[in-house]
Amino acid sequence: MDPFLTILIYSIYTSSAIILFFLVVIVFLRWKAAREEREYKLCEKEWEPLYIDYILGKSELDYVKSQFLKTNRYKFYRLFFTPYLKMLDGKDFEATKALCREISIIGHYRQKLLKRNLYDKATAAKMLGDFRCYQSIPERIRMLKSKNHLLILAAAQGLAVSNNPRAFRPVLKALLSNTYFTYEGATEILSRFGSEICPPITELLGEYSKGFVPAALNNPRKKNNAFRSLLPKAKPATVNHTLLVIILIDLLGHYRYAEALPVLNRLLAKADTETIVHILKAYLRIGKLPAEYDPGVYLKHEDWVIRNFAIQTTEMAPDKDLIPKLDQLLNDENWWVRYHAARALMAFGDAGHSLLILRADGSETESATIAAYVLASKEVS
Amino acid sequence: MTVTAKTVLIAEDEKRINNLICARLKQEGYLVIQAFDGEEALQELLQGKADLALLNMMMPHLDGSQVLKRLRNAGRELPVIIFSVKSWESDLRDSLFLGAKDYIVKPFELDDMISRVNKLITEQ
Repeated sequence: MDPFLTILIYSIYTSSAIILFFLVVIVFLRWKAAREEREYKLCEKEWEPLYIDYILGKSELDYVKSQFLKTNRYKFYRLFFTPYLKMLDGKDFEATKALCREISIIGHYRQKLLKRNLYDKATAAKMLGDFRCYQSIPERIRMLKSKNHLLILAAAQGLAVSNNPRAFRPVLKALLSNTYFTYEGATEILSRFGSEICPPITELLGEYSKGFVPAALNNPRKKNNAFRSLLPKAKPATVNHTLLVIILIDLLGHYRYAEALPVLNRLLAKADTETIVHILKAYLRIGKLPAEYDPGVYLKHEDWVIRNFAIQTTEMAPDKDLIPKLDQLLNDENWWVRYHAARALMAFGDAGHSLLILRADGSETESATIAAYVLASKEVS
Repeated sequence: MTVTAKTVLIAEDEKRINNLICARLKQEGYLVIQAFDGEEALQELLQGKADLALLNMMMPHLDGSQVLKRLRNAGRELPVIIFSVKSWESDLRDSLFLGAKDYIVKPFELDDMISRVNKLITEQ
């Protein structure tokens, strides 16, 4: 036989065998997953009424514990209890946690946390967070110093949902130190702590606003204050104080923490461009302005983003003295600034509205166009 | 004289949580209608059988705030309690402006939920 033909035939057989092998593996895994799902559904059907009766006080803990242990399906406990742990609080949560403790789930995950297997450690860190298990917090805080991104993420997520504000600073520092975390990823995790973190954040920013000097970061003679201690020592150049400050400001804005307004206003006086943007955004989210805040300064700022947000803050406390400044901004070089200036004038009552009508008929192209546009869109709405 | 039991609608997409809340409400003596997404909740509410609604904010098809808006636009004034996760607490407060009578932040305690339901039903 032609050697080429021989090679071709053997290649076809080999490829077919490999494809068949993978097909068999896929079919087997799907069958296994379907079987597990059926098993889980059976367990859920049996466990759910038991659990509900227990939570409603119709069954005792010992009886429910014995019924759960009888089924011998430990691998499904996590799937079953997780929604309840996330949704319930107070005595319902404590009852669920007590049941989980009795059927040894908590002990199981505390053991897993000490294992070497990264996946086991990460799963355990998340589950212990769901259990709000305070005994293992030191171990999970140690995990934040790991070099493995998965472990840091699991530990951070677990600590965040534990609702323990004392874990906030270590988690914040870990997220800033690890360059894999995006800004959005870090703030998403930090926002899970809940509004209890607002007072310590305000305290941190208060300390910063009293004159933290970035150059002193590397000065060994300067005592570490709480703010400085959050900055990673290894990479001061990549994670500077501005990033830390804006994350903290954004969290205050997210929780609409009005008590932070005086501190934010103090920061505003000495802030760089990026920080000013975030402070103004926080004012808009909080829905209130500090008494001493004067938007006039920021309406003239060279950065259009700042001008834009400053204009929006004027709508929260319309002051007729600002009308001439907003009028000037109708001719701003940036469309968004012109647009928001026109919208802000609508919030100034008849004086602002009349001015817009005047500008819409005026000879200056930019202000006429934007005034007409905003007036027309207001009529449509 | 018999007192007619009041009907509460629960709109929550997490089935087991829905079942748990349903069981707790029945224990309290309420009749319960269960819905597992926003669209279903709206259909049930527009039929007018519920005396109070518990709406989860994040649901498939229509979220809690959209259901509430459409309900109010249809002229239904029944009391509504919105509930959602802790990180959206500030938005839950905004739901009061949309016409909700109260809001509950998750995680929550069942007894707290029941006391709010009882209070609104009594006021009604």
